[in-house]
Amino acid sequence: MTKIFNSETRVPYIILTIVFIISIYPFFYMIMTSLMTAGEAINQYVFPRTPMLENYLEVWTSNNFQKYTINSIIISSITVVGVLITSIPAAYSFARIEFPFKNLIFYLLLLSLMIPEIITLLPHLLIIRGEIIPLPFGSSWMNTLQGLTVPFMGNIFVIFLLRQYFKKIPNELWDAARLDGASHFYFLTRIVVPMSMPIIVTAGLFTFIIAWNSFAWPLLILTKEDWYPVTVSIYSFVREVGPNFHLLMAACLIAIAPILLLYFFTQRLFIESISNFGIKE
Amino acid sequence: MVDQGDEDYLYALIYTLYYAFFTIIFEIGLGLVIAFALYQKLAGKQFFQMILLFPYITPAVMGAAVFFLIFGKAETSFLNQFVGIFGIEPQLWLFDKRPITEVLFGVKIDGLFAGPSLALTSSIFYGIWSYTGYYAIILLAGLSIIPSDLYEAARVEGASRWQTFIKITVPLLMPIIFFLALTGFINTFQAFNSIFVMQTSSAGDTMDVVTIEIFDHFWGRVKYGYAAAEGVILFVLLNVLAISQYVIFRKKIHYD
Repeated sequence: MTKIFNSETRVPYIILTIVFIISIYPFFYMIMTSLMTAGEAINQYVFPRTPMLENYLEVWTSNNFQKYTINSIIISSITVVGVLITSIPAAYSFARIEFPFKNLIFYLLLLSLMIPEIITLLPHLLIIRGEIIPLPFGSSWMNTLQGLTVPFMGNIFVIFLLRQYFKKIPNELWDAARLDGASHFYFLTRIVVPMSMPIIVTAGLFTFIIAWNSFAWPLLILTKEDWYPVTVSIYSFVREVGPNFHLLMAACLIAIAPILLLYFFTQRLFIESISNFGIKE
Repeated sequence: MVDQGDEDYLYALIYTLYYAFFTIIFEIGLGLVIAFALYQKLAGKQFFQMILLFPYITPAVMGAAVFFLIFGKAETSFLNQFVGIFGIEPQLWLFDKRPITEVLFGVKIDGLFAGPSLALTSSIFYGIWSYTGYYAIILLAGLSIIPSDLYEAARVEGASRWQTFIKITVPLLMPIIFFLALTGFINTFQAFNSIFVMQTSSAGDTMDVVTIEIFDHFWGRVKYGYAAAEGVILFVLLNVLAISQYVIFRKKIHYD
């Protein structure tokens, strides 16, 4: 212990401890409040007298909360699969195949990252309502699962992330594969994808979080409650919370849990790719 | 309306500017301090890195719901209990539309220098909380690629810690700080979920940043053309900001 807390590292440890407390406190607060009775929660005690695990059951079974959570899981999973299906081949083409105007197209795509998301919602909405082009699977996608997922199945950031990784794969591998008569598709599915699993997992997690977070878009296109995601449900809960602080916190904890769980298993990859992203730019 | 322009939109831009400016300054400043602390050879570095990203991955709607209670107006709300320790009177936080200068110093100023309302300041706190760890991780990555022989040389020359920091670390980090400031502007100008959730009616329109204003126009009032026009202005402004940042910082990036 004496070695850890010498004078060199005392100040950094104090800073990190403060940061640790501030980072973790809202979670601690959420968990503690979710275990309290209504009265304890309103007076905002630090600890509950007796942990009330019933709160979770009450939230889970009331107001369709269960259904909304499952909705969110379905929406996010489908979005992740969709994004990976479009992004992996796109990233591969940008990284390893020569075609006319390749760089121009790529830079135009990157430029579109500059467009605030809120602006893209409006044209998306018009397309979803079938006013610009005729849509497959029904004339309007308002209030449907495809309306919630399909518009987000192309993600430029993910393409960019994967492209950087695919570029590093040595050319010798492709030369060898081509000698054996492999096509681009074969090379991509059998060699590139298995080699790039870490970055694909990170990209998947990233997409999942973004999809789980989606809030303005469902609010816009859902007029019925069938496909409400959990974010919209939490939002309406906040608006009419009244004295039910403990139930709101229990609901929040349930809604955050899947993300925290996923993060817990992939955190090393996640931190690594964030660090790399910053340096490469 | 066309003659005099939409005042709400102008104010929305000013509030957005407050939000962007204060969050980015604190995120980068605090991020640097944290990154520097992590850069010392410490035990448990991996653990701290993991904790640091917790706020970043927390979905904004749920995070904002928690902050909505922490920054509550009741006298018993956590923050009021906390500031009570230092003898500060309970505040209304997210429910207070007075400008921050009035709350802090009791002076009434009109216009741009009045600063954000206490309600907007509270949501700025959320912005800082959720992004600082992410910035620290990126800055830490930047620190770790600075060659260590530069520090050796500085030590041989007898430079103090502070001098090394100002003369070596900061200039070499400049490209990354610039990148973070640029993406920070793009991100903060897009902040929507957390502010939308934390909005209260008693804060009036002092929390209506530009994204909320646009969303309100086409969700609440169904004025698509108007919302689209506001969106285009936002896009142009963002590009002007990005380009001017690039021009200003360009000289400082080339440190050789």
